[in-house]
Amino acid sequence: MPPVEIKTGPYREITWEAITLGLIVGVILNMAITYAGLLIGFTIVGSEIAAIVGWGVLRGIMRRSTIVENNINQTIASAVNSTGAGIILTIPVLYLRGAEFEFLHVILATMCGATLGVAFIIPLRKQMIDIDRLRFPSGTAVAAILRSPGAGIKKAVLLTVGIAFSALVSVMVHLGWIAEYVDLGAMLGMPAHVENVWAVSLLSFGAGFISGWAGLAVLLGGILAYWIITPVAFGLGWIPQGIVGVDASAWAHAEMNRPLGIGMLIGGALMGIALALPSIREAFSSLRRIGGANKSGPSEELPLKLLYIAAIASVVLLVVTGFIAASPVGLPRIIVIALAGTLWIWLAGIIVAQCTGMTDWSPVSGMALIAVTIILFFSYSTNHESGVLLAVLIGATVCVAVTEGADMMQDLKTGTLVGALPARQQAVQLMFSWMGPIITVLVIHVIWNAYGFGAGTKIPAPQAQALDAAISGVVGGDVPLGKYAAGALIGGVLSASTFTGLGVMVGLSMYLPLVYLLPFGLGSVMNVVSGKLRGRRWVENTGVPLAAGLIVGDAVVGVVFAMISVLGGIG
Amino acid sequence: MAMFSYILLTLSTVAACLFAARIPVMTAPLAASVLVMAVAVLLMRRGYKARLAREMASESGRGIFDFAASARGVLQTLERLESDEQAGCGQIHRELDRLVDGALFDFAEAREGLLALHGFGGFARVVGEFSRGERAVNRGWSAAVDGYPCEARASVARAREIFAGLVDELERLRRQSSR
Repeated sequence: MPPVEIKTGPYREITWEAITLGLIVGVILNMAITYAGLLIGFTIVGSEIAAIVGWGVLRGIMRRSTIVENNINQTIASAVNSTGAGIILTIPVLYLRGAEFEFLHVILATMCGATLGVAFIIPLRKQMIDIDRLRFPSGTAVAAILRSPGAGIKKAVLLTVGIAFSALVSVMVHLGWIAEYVDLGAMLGMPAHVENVWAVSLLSFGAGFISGWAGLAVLLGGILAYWIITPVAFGLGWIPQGIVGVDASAWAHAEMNRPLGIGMLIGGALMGIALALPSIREAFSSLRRIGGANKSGPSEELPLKLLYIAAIASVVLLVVTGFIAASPVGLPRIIVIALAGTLWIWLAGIIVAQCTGMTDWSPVSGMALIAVTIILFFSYSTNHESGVLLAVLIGATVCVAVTEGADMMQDLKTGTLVGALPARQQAVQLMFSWMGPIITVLVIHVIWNAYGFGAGTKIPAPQAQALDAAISGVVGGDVPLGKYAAGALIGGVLSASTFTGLGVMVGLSMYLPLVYLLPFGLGSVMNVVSGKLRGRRWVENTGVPLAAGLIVGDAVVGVVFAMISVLGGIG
Repeated sequence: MAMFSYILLTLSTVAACLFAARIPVMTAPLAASVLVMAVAVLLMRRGYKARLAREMASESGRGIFDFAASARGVLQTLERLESDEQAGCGQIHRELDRLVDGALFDFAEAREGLLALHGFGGFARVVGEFSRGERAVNRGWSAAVDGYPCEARASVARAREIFAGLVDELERLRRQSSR
């Protein structure tokens, strides 16, 4: 380590500089990611960008920043920008359906979601990060950036090489200089319904590498879904006649594998919770022991009482907002709906946090679909228009909650690796996460008024179109309940095995598109093989910094291109 | 036995997913496949417990990582570092770096063995406290890199306190399981 200037005074952690920079970066990223999400259909969380900008501004220009201060900056930035993913999936549906709604109701409901998501997930930090020690690949990558000044030359070089190489490849993909996908199946002469297309995504590869064994389970689930179930279904004539080639694979994914995967996620998570009850109980009693006053230093965790108050206040506000927005549904029913939604937020939050913890993938659209289905079940019969409005509103609340919860966990993982105090990260996330929905909803409204969105427009909003179609299906009675139930049963049994979270992992892979699963799985295979050949220490000290660089480079370029598309849109 | 249970679980899972994927779901074959899955899971769990028990019973417990000795080693390093008033940021950083890459890494990698030794509750208590101590070490490391010697020493002291408690807990669990 090069000699450092010795500083006196308290260790800088929550500072005005970190808060201001985090908010500025968070707002800019939120706008860029919302626009890009409506355009291309998926979003990126910008923690990596925030950490790098933090380096430049806090450490480079102001010259007095600390590692944990930059961690607070990235925590705030990602708290503000991560809500976009949940909102662009749901709220545009209201515009697409021509629903009459008040802007304020949407903002209030999604703000409640942000607070609920954070309040519900914080008590699980001890379990998921300290006891299960889940990897959270993006959180690990951000920690690699933050720790780079003291991590030694070798790790810094590996991180930089990873970032540079990944950014270069990503730029070439974005500019169309190299293909976005490689159709290996066509090259090998495989039938078109047996999908074997690889995304050129070093982010997926890097995340797979950091995931290790858990990623391998995801790859095996993908093989089961796309290379066993789909061809067998095609061969046995389970896919309607006339649907052939890649359409057959897409049909099998939409009608068979995806609903089965959603069921497996739910069943797997429930079984995981049941089996982990002794250790969850231990984690909670540990939280109570250390939560309040820590004798030897500052508080480590936010008091549970504060979280309960935040959660109860959010639920009450959600009920009030729901009642005002969709009064024909009736107050008693709205109370039941809000409570069902809240319960679902808790379970979906665990599912999504577990998925991101093990793999970095977040099945948020599946969680939204289940939320909408549950709410429509309770509300649609009373008043169709209000029922759909309420379902989308609560669906958005759920989505925002689970994305905020998953982001909180990624940030807390980063914090653990750099030695941040969880209570401080939790406090800033709780204080600023509600701002994200306001910005996202405003951006969506501006884009709608400027260009409109949906099929045939400049802004296709593909995720919202998919949810809109799903809502029409639910309203028409087309809910694959059998698939959900069967999936839950299979996922539950798999999660009871000796591989922790196996049901959730396999469910996730049946739900996700194969194009990203393949490079992800390759990364996992590389981790396991290099661990066998070179040892686990080599994987941690050489492989992980390089993989972290791959994640960071790709994510940074993705966000930069999203910003360019925003500027292009404004132009 | 272990291999048989893996193969059985794989095959029954494939079958169950196929029967579940069909529209409509093939209920009876699905139920039969899930039953076979459950049997395979039971065999796996039994085989897993037996493997851990074998490792524990192996000559002088060679197969099992000595968690108490490892935690004591970490505690000694932290005590030495805390008592060395001359230690500057550079030295604290070097010592903690070695600790993170050495003893803490080994403890974390071997943690699965705690499940066999002390069950879910003991595992959660030990790993939870270990991670807490590790976080304090990481904070000391960050503060040393940033040039804050007071915070670095305070974090070392906090980590020492947590690891002292962890050593006591491991000793208590060892006494409990030998009874």
